[in-house]
Amino acid sequence: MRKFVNLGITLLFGVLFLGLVGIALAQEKENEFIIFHYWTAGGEKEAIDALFELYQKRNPGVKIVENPVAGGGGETMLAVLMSNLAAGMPPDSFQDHQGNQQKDYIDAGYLEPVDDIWAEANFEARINPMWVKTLKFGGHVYSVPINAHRTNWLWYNKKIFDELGIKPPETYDELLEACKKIKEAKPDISPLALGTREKVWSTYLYDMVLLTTGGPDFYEQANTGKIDFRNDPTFRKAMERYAALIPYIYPWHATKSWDEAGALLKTGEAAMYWMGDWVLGYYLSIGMQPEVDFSATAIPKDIWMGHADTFPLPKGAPHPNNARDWIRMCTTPEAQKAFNLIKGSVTIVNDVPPDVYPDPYRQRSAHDLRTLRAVCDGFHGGMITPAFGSELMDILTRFLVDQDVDAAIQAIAEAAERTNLAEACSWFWEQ
Amino acid sequence: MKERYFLLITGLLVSILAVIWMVPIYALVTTSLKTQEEVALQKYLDLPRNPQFSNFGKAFNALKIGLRNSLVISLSATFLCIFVGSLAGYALTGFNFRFATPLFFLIVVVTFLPYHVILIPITQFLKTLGLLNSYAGLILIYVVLNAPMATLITGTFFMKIPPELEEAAILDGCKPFRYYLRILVPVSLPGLISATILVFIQIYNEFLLGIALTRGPDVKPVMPFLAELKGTQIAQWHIQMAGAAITSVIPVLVFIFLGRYFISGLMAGYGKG
Amino acid sequence: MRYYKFQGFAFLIPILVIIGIFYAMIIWDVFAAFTHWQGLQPTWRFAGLYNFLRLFQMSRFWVNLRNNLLWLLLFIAPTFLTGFVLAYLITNLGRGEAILRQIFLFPMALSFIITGVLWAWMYDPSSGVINSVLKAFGFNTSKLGWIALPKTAIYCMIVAAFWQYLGFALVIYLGAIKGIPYEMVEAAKVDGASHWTVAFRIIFPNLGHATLICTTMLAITTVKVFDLVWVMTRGGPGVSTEILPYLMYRLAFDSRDLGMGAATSIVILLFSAAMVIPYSLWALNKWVRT
Repeated sequence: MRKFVNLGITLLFGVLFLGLVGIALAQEKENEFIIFHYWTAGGEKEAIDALFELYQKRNPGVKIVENPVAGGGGETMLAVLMSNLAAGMPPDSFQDHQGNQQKDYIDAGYLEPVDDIWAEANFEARINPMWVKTLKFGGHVYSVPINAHRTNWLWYNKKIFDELGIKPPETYDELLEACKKIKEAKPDISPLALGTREKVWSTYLYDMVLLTTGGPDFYEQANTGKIDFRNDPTFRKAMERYAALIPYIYPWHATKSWDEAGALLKTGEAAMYWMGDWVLGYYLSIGMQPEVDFSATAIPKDIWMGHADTFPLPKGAPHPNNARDWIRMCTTPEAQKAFNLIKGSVTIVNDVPPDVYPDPYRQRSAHDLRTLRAVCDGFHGGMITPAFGSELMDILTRFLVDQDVDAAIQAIAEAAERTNLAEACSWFWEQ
Repeated sequence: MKERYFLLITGLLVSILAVIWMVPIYALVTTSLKTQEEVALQKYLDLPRNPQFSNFGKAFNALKIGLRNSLVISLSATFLCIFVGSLAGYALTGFNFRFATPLFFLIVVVTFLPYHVILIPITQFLKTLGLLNSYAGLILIYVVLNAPMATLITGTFFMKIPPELEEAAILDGCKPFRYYLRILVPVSLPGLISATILVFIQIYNEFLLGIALTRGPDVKPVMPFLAELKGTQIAQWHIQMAGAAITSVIPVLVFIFLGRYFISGLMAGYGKG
Repeated sequence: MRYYKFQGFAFLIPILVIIGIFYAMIIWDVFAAFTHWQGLQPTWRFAGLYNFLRLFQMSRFWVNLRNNLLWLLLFIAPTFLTGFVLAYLITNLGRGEAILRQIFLFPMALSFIITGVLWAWMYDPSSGVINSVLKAFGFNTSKLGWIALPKTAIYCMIVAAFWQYLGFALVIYLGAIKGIPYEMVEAAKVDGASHWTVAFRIIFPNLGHATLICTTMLAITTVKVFDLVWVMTRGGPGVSTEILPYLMYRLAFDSRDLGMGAATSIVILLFSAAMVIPYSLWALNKWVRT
């Protein structure tokens, strides 16, 4: 017993000593660059490491302190950021999305404009105008996007398609047709895979039906709350189209994460998957061969839909010059290329030629981004507000089970009212 | 004869239950030895074709700083929690203070609060003390959050101690702290051990504060590292499961170590009259 | 004696400081619940009962409350009762206690990040462990959705929590049973009492303090079971498995509405106080002060 107590007391002193050392270290204003992100493992980590390498070359004396914040694609990040920001301890930069996701920080006064960095790099001219719309608030920009993830990809099992002679769908109707054909020929397979353990993916299908039913303008209006959800006929039609797909969707989606759902194409339990381009990296890592086992098509083929990861500049960042240089670096084609080649997305700037990408999908994505009309996806792209999105996810995962269009429309209308969606998104239209 | 049957059946039942209990662990182990491709097949009962022990190496590399940090933080914080908590538990049950019961309830109610909502004041608190991103800061917060639970558990165990024991000690001229150390603790060792187990688990497995209150890997505990292993836009379940096996070693060692004291404590218990 | 009382009071000082800090933060929380704090910036504009009214008007809130009650009813009693029965059986067997204890306690060594995922795999309807085993025995599992179906999801999660916490109840009761004087049990057995009688009429009533600890700890767990819900289902499908602590987190951070999140936490506190205090007073009188 004595020994135990002695051990405890020694530990205690040891710890107190370490703690004091910790305090001492913290007081030094080291030349650091503190950044929060959630690219924590494997390929995504290598991508951000590539950026760190570039940065280190530009700034050899700076110590990079990265804070990977794991946990569901940003959920934990917000809690951690909020507490740090509210306590007056902003990092030098952090990973953010755009649109309404970023607006909350701006409204709270946590970000600083980087108009000068954009002007210096002539950034506005080098990107698709859609990005400017979702990154400019009241005439100012507060961040620089590093990549562009396309999310209106439909990935499909090429062998099944070849076997059944199905043409890769490029519209909603063709998609529904393909579903029906697959279901008839192979009743044991689910035509469309989906994973809603993380509920956000249910909103991806929502975006798709809105986009294909009403076109890009309607899509933007719907997601920013500018329509009368209860009475708008196009909206109802879109929801009915969503409902029409449900019988063809993998029934147990609530138990699958996005990658497990994607893997259904490999296990042979599903034939198609609606997901963003990061699933390409996943398919490659599980031994699927592009254009042999799987391929991809865009729906609708004349729109580029997706979102970007951005790095904003916090107000009161502890090392503002280091932070600004990071943001400046991210505007260069060199940094964009280095990051995106490894990451699996494409550069957001148009001056990197599409043929740098080794796979046809990203080549197409880069090409489409610089030529087609583009829209931001709802949740990650910040078209909808996080508050509305949080409720939308619940409504849609419920809808996926009971297929009740009226109830869903009613619930969505109520959620939009409750979260003041239209008012919150008014900045988008005031440009 | 009946007794034999009973023993046989219960023995069987308990064994089957134990096997069932281990099934999820089996899934953990098989996944930790698979390649990413095999994991994608989602056949959790299947054995890996070629056990990938390298997964453990990769996981360990990523986790080692966290393991060191967690050892320091969890062990110290648990020890402090139990020490503070049991002293408080003793004080509340052994001295007949008039305010003991209301105070006890104040303490109990606080253990029910999910701490996530006070994340912001916690961060502000540590910032004012200048203890962000330090061992001392994390230990302090874990003690603040868990000492009430330690008080609750140890206090309840202490309530069961017959007052004659204390009266006898006082007659012998025993001062309170000595009584605490020499008599109360050894006698209630099973209770203290149970409290230690629970508090240690809560602290070791904690995740959110470990990220929010640290900058960089220097003092970050192991759970945030474990969460990172899977990746956000990739899915390395196999590495994460290997990591889970590694991180569970420390609590298991703690359990085994405490288990010995569990038995010896029972021997010292008042059950022998 | 006075001097001793003084020393006794000194023992309380650390915990008083600690709960002082804690309650200071709770007061912060209470204030936040009455403000118009929506968005990321600390906003201390007084809002009266605005947040609470909005909270109670959400049907989602009542679903959460119902879920919490379900947890309370279905998790606590089975866990501690099974823990007791298992402890009795193992003590009776007389051997293998050490290893059995470690086996049942091991789930507690796992982080919730892992447990949630493991049980999602167990419950996976197509190739998960449970359905695979059932299929092997010839059952038709095509309708068994487990956590994919709103109706059954929450019960599945309770089972997962049961798996994790049974070991703790077991350990508490193992220790407590050993404290029962052997003569008491002997006498009953000589009188021809069955195991059932010995266990429930003689031993169990004397383990009041252990039961009190178990039930309180398990109740605390149900209120805090945030982590499992987060990893296994994110409260889905829909909100069928959502519980108040998770609602609090989602409101505070996902919806960026800290005012409502704080209001939810106040509800949790009141709910717990209303539950715990009468119960403990009753239990203290009945079981411990005898």
